Amino acid sequence: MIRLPKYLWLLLFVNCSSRYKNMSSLIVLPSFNILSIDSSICLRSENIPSGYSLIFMYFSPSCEHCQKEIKEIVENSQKFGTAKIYCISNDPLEEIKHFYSQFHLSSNKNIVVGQDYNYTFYNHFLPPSVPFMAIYDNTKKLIKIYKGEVNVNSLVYSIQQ
Amino acid sequence: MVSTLEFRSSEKRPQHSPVETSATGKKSSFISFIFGETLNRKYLLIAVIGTIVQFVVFKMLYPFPDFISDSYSYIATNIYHMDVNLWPIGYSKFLLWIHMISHSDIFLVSVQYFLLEVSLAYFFFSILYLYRPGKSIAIIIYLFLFFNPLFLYLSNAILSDSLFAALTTVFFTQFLWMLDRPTFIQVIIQGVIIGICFTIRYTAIYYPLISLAGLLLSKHCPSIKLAGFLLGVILMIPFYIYTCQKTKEATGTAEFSVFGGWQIANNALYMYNHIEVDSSKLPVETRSLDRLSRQFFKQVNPSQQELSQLPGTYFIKVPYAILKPYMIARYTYDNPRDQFATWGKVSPIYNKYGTYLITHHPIAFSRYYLWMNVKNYFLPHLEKFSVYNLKIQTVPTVVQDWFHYITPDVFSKLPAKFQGKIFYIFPMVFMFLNIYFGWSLIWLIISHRFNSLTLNKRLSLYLTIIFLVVNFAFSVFATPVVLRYQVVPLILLFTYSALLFELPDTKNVDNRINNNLSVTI
Repeated sequence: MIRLPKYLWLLLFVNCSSRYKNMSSLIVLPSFNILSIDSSICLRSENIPSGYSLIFMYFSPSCEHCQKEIKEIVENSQKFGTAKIYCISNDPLEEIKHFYSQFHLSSNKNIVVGQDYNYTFYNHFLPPSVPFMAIYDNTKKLIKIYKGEVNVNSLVYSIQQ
Repeated sequence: MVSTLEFRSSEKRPQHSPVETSATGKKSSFISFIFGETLNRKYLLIAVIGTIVQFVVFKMLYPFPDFISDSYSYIATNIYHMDVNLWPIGYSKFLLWIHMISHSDIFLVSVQYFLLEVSLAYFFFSILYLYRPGKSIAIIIYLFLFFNPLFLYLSNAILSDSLFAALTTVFFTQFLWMLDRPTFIQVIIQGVIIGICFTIRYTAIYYPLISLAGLLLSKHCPSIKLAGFLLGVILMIPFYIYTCQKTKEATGTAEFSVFGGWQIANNALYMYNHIEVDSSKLPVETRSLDRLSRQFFKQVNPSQQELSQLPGTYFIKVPYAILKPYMIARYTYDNPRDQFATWGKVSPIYNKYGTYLITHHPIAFSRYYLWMNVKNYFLPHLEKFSVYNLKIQTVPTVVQDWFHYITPDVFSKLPAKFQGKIFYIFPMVFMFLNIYFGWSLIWLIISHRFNSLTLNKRLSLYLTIIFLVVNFAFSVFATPVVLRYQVVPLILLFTYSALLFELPDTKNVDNRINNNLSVTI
């Protein structure tokens, strides 16, 4: 009689741990490539240094929500500390460059902008809409995925977890 | 002879009944009644195991809780550190306290389910102890209370309904005890529960009436009755003042329920298409709202069927139906704190407009709103119960952050509309129980059986009737009628209908008793 509830709780635990079973490939930062906006460097995700929280923002330069999101991130950049923010888009490089200069992203060392030129990021994460955020901790383990616009405080809270 | 008749005839009482234990005529204690008797221990054990098994299986099918916009609001109240919101903040505080222990949604749902089932167990064993129903009736009530999907789905929703139903069940049970064996602690408990319930849902505004009725029917002395009634009211007052003050700080107007103004305007607009409104006689500040109403009915003119699809909330929920466009044309918001302030700023105008229309057109209001709500009451809309998570596969960021979900995706392993099939019959059951209960009472009276019930049972029936009638009046006048709001009335109707079902007809009882007497002689 005593063992039955324990057994049932175990079942419940197992069941709940399967909530994210479709995401097993994302638990550790998957392999993808980002082309820098001057097309000079192709950054592989494996080469991104660990030791920092990582925020990957998939965006479209023409999307108003993405513009609002990056504006808030830039305005609150001090809150993100040493976290690295990678803004990735599969739109044409010219549009990404315009976005880069529009929000003065060159002045922030922790923000990297690039193109998902061969859709490797997209194929892993399958973002249903933009903006799309994937947050990893300093050991490249997934913390959270946000779909759609998200409050800066939520992003900061996530990297502090 | 007659005075020994309870909800069932005395000669049918089980021999093992622990309630009528000894030659001294004293009843055993409630605790020893539950734990000391084999049958009751079995009831308890099976209920404990049964509810755990049901819960585990249920959570396998529904790994995540169920949410609607109200759920987001309760959580946002905490995330944005709000002192007041569209709904009373008691449930938000409950979420906060649970969150301090664990951020797990499963823990929260478990607590909700546990509290509800414990309250139902208290109610069930109180009924057994006080009224001694026959075994078959006891089992029917038992199955309804402990093997009912209603309570699983109710507890799985991040809404105040489960907690409120648990508290109300305990509240009502206090009076059942008070009618039989009054103690001072029951008076305190009922007063405290009124105070707590009022912070969770404004429906509790009528609970002092139930308390007054229960106390008047009880055997307490007049001073305790008065103290018990005042205790409930006094415990409501601080929350009332607090909410008014905080609302004034946020919106500029000291209103108790911001939602109240919206609700009154919404209710009044149900009849708008059937009345002539002289704009020049309206309060000046409501005339622009009236122009919008006139324009809406000229252009959109929703049919009665469209209006009835959203149970009594069409003009609150539909984004293009007068009230929201009026607000959005004047104010903007991008976070829950500003949203509350915005809703609150238009609420006084809506209140004035709705009140004016209702007081100047009471007959049309009765015909086009109250009558619709009367029908809704007897066949309540499934609403939340009809579909999982509004058929949406994600939750907003506030919910994701609150429960520490890695992604905003939520799902159930059953089709979203499956629960609608389970609950399809519930509105009809509710209506049937209302009819059956009403008819049983009429039958009791016209067959002169009502007075054959013992005094305590008559009093408990009076109290149940008062509760149901006041709840009916409140539901029809003041709120949308949906099934989740009618859970406690459903429990009472089912239980008392089952108890009344057991009453034998007079002739048979008299014959059986005469036969017994002949044998004895």
